[in-house]
Amino acid sequence: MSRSHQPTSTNPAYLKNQFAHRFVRALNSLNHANSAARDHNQMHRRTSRVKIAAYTAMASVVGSRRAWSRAVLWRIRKRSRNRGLLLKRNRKRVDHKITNCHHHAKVMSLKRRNPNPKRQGFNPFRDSSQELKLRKLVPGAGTMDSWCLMGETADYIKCLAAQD
Amino acid sequence: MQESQINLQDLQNGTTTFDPTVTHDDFLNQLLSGLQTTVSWPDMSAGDGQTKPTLPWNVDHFDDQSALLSSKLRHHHIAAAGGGRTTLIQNDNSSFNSPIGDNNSIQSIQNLFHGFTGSLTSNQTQQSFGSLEMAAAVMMSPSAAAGGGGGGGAPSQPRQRVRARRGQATDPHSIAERLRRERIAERMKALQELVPNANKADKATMLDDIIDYVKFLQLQVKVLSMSRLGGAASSTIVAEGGGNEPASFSNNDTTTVTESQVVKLMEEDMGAAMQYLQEKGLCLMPISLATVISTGSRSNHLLTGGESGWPSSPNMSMLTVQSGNGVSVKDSP
Repeated sequence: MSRSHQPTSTNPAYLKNQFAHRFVRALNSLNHANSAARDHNQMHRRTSRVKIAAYTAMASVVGSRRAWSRAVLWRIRKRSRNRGLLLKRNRKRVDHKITNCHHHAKVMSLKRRNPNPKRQGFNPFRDSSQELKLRKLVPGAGTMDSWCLMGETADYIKCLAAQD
Repeated sequence: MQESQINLQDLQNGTTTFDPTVTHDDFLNQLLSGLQTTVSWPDMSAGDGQTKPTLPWNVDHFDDQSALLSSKLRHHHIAAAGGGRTTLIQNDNSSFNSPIGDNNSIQSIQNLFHGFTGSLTSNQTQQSFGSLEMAAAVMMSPSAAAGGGGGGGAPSQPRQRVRARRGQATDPHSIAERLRRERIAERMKALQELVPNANKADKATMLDDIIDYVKFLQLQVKVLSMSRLGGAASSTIVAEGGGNEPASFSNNDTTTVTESQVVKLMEEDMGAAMQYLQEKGLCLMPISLATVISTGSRSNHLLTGGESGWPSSPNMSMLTVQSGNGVSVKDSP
């Protein structure tokens, strides 16, 4: 886990600073790009862009250290390919990051194996529905064992809470 | 008598063969009868005649015999079949032949042997052989022994495994599962600290809390980001939320009224406050971010904000911005 050369601080202050910085940058670029049109469709598009900016900023702070951030960035990249929303400049940057992240993610997922055969007796979740819910909520947690799922959830919550 | 003694001695030496053709019921009957008839166990050691029809064995004598028998049984690898006692005995390598129904003592010896094997299979603990009273107890309850007659492998091998059954620490599978369980519990604790006001009465409620908190945070991000584009944009959120009517305003008076109302609501119920804000096209935002944004881009569409926190955070400061009108800050403690 300590392979990253980045400052491995996940304390909230650091996260907040980084996130605010990137988010504001994204917003600025959005502002410059778009006009202040009151059209409903455009509004919708812009709201989604802002939302995407928020998630991207959050995930890019974390980088490829976490599965959820990789999943988020991957999804955004897919969407950007499909819809062509991102600016060219941003797209390049995001794509570059995401290719690295995805490659890393693939490597990691290949290495990762389900350690134990599933035994219902030690399932910590009372209902399996809870586990399914959690997996749906946390991005990129589709194929994970319970322990990794909890870890990803913890990190995700930390970052989301740091978003203010 | 001599026949019986010879057979007993053969039993000791392990050369005799034992050919049981008794059925299960017969065995039970014989067992019960054998308990009351005489057994010449102490006779073997003492070399005397038969004993009285009381409980025929003494612990002292029987320790040797039981030890002998148990060792013999171990050596011969009694494999338990799924069926009754007869098949059990048949699998035994050391087979004891004796004419059936001849002698009470012989039958009782057979029964004793049955009982020993039964105790082996049922208890699967070799400690029971240490004291014959336990074996006697086993024989006294043949049904229990017969019911448990399915699991005895080579007696020496389960010895080490089974002995630690209480701690359940020997099986590698269970160890791994225990480790996994501990890890999961440890992460549950970490999550519990992250989620404020977690109701940790039970793991299930804890998990529900976690799930709701994640949902809330995601909703918060959505609301914050969408509301950033002004009041009209929030109508989309509201529409997604529940189909309320869009509300857009650009009036100073209404904002103050709204603020006071929101403050009032917030004291009661956070969720209702949030909903109220959304309906009005407002959202909550921490003041730090709002100031950053306002200083960052002086342009039109900034938005309203307030405090944000999962329950109500202690320091509330409301920042209200209207689209295109500037910034006004109001603190409400």
